[in-house]
Amino acid sequence: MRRVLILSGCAAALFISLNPVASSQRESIYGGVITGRVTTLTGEPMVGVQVVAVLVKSLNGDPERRQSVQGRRSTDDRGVYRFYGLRPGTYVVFTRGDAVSWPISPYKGYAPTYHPSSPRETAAEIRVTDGGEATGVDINYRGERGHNVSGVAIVGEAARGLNGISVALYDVSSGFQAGIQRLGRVETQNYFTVRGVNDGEYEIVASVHRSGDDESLVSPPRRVTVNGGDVGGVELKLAPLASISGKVVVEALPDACEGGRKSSPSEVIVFTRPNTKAMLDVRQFVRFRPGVSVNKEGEFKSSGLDPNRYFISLRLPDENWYAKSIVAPAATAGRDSVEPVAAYDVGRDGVALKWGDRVSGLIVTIADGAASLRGRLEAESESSRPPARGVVHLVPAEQAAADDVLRYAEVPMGRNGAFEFKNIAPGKYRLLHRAAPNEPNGGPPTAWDANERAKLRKEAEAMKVEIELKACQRATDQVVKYIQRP
Amino acid sequence: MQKLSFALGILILPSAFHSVQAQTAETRIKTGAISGRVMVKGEPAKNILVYLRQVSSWTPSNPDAYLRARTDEGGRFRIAGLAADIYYVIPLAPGFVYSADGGTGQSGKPVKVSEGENVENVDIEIYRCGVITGRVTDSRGKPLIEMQVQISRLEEDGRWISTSSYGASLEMYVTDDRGVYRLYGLPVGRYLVSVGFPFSAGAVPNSRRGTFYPQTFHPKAANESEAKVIEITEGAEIDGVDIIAPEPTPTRSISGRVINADTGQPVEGVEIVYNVKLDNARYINYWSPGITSRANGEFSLKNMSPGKYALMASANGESEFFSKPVVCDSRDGDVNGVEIKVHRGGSLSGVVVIEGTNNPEALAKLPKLAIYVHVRSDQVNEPRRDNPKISDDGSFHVRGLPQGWAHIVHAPLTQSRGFSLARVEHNGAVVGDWIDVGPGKRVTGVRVVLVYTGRQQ
Repeated sequence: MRRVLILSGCAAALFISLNPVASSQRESIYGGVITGRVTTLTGEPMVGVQVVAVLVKSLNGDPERRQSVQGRRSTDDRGVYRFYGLRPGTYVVFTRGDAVSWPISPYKGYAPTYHPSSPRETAAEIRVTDGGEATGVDINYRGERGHNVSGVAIVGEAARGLNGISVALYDVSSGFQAGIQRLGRVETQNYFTVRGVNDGEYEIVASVHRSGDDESLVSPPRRVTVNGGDVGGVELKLAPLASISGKVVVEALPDACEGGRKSSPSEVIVFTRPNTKAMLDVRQFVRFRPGVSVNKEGEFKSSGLDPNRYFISLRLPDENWYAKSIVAPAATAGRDSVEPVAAYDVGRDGVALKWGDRVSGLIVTIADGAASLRGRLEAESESSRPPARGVVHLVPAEQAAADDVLRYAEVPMGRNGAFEFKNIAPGKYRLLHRAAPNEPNGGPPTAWDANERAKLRKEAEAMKVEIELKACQRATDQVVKYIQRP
Repeated sequence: MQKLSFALGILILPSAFHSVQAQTAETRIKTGAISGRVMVKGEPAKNILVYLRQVSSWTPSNPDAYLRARTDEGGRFRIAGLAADIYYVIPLAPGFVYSADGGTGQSGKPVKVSEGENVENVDIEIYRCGVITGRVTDSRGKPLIEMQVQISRLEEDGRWISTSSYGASLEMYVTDDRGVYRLYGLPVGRYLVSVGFPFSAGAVPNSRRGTFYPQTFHPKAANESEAKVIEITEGAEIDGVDIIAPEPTPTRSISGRVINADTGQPVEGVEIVYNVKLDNARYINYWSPGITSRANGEFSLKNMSPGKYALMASANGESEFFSKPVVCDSRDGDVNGVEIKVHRGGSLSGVVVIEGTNNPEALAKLPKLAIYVHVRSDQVNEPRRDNPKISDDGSFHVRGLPQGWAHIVHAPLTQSRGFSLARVEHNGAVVGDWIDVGPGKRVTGVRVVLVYTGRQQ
């Protein structure tokens, strides 16, 4: 039986392709080519120098939120480089005249020269299409010194003697790593000089990457302005990052769904996500991974977390499972292996972490009997087409569940207004449609914030679109009538 | 006339080098100098960067800290302010080598400088390199992308020696999206170019989703004797060195389980290594693919080149088990059901100490030094060599030793330069040569005494 739901909302003005050519893999022959030649100002080929391709806009022209290196290639004996398999989009390419194989460069200068022979501001952009080839993307290397950013990175005595401290500079507007210096053995005071920096606003971060049980150390990012000269005396203090660990348990229920496959908790992926819109450079820098897998005993550990409030979410391998509760022992901050004495609702409030905190003993309970809901937002008439981008929210209807964050869900609307919710706890819900947030990737889910949660509930109540999902129910082909509000 | 001009100027910028090494060097008297000329075919090579690598000093992390100069119009260079030491003088001229047999910008010409000495006439001839380029396709002419290209050079002793030390980047050993490769920086000589891997080559890197390309030489030869030799003269560029690769076969997997020889129970966490089994019953090479047995004792090696292998428990000194090699043949297909029976071995532990120096730099190197513990045993079919980790306090520990005789030597690795083995003591007495080890034996109190000579070995 088909149930018809009526939704209304404001038309979103922005259009973004919902599926930006994600299928082009760099390993394959698909993707685009950029090729050119690197020469000195006197026209000599530069041999063995690294050329870097930076994606600055997506194929449809949207600026990248964090500009990132898509490839590094070395020039050959003719100064020729060739990138292939590049993700379609708009690029800039540059070289610092540095070589991979030699400890020092035979060429002069440290500052990047962009194609054709420019600083970043006036760099020519190159549009790459799938299967396209951009040729003649030459760089006439200027060999400029750029400016130095120098200072000292300070670590505690405990980290002394570790290997591999590095200091990196990130462009504030683009998030691009504008320079890095890698130092060797860690001393209590580590003097650094990042070379070849052009004028601009930067955040500077020092880090010592560690693996295993020891947390990496980073410094809180500091703002640095380079304007026509060297910057000295930057002091960075490193502190260990925090971690969250715990266990995933499956609650045995008598009314398990029929035909459900027997999944193992070890197939669950646990996501630890900060409750901030911006992804800080620190986490990027220490190779922070939001998703961690769970071992055979159900244990997980998420490391490399900088001070922030974090929420836990799950990717469940079995459509019959849903996240029921996430609790932590009270007052765990900074202590190892604390047995839970009083439960602290991480599912609702997240976990606030300070430097060096090691929160352990989280209990993530998953239960059998999850429902799913698939549907489509459909125009009621030709004149009221649903917006191209939108978000559909699922809001628990029961008053008792008002602050049960795990029961809230939001999904981006797909092609033709399609939406799907999976791994939903049985119960009564209300559906709500909102325009998608303007910024790409949206930021944290709306329900993580108590005030936003209250707003969601109010809007959902006003819309009066209710649905009850029974345990194990697979509600499909839901058509939701979209009515444009004036 | 050679075109050698690079960007002008001598690149010695104000140094901000603050490491301990630099401070130590500051205290030395630095009045020595090295000067000479860089020449190409008897003509001065101008504007070439020449830098020094100091034997008894760490490689600086700061590029500005390198001692360097650029050659002038007459090809002359002079680098002053040197402490007494041995220096390698390295001309860094991309596209050139500094010796006819292929020296590149990494090693250099050794020069000894005494205190205050002005070493002159350090003349270095550089040679323009050659290029080999071509295209790699399948039999239908379709380009093969990201294929590894190997090059081997005919040495004086008549052997073909494979190397990847030419050029400025390892990228040149890989075909691009058109199947094109370009090998540059080649010294004068005779070369073979090939793609693919030999049989029994172990785990195949870049195995292209489980496919194995048998080694094929230009133009489409299955072995060296049928391959076409490419002659490179100074500055030559040979193009059209194409290779037509045969149809690939699937890579092989070899799987089985590890059991305790005494109890028959599966053993978890045993690292599996393999050797290649040659027809003459000799083993060559030793690979550790980083695979350990799972809780039920099972293991699986994937992406293997078809061939004959000998599998065994790793003699890495961390595991308490050892095993005899188990031979298997994957030339006709995957191999399943390999059973590796492991035995609990003995242990040997002790401490490494440095004598004869108060040099803090030398003493600080202790945890980076390396020793080998060789064991000859009838319980396993081949000599075993452990390279135990040395802790900050110098202690080391080797486990899983079969019945036999252990012999400790100093490992001549890069980080151990300047050190040599003085003696090995056991419970206070100097050990003649071999120490009796084996299952049930816990040998403790071994003292490995190294002396610091400061000389490169």
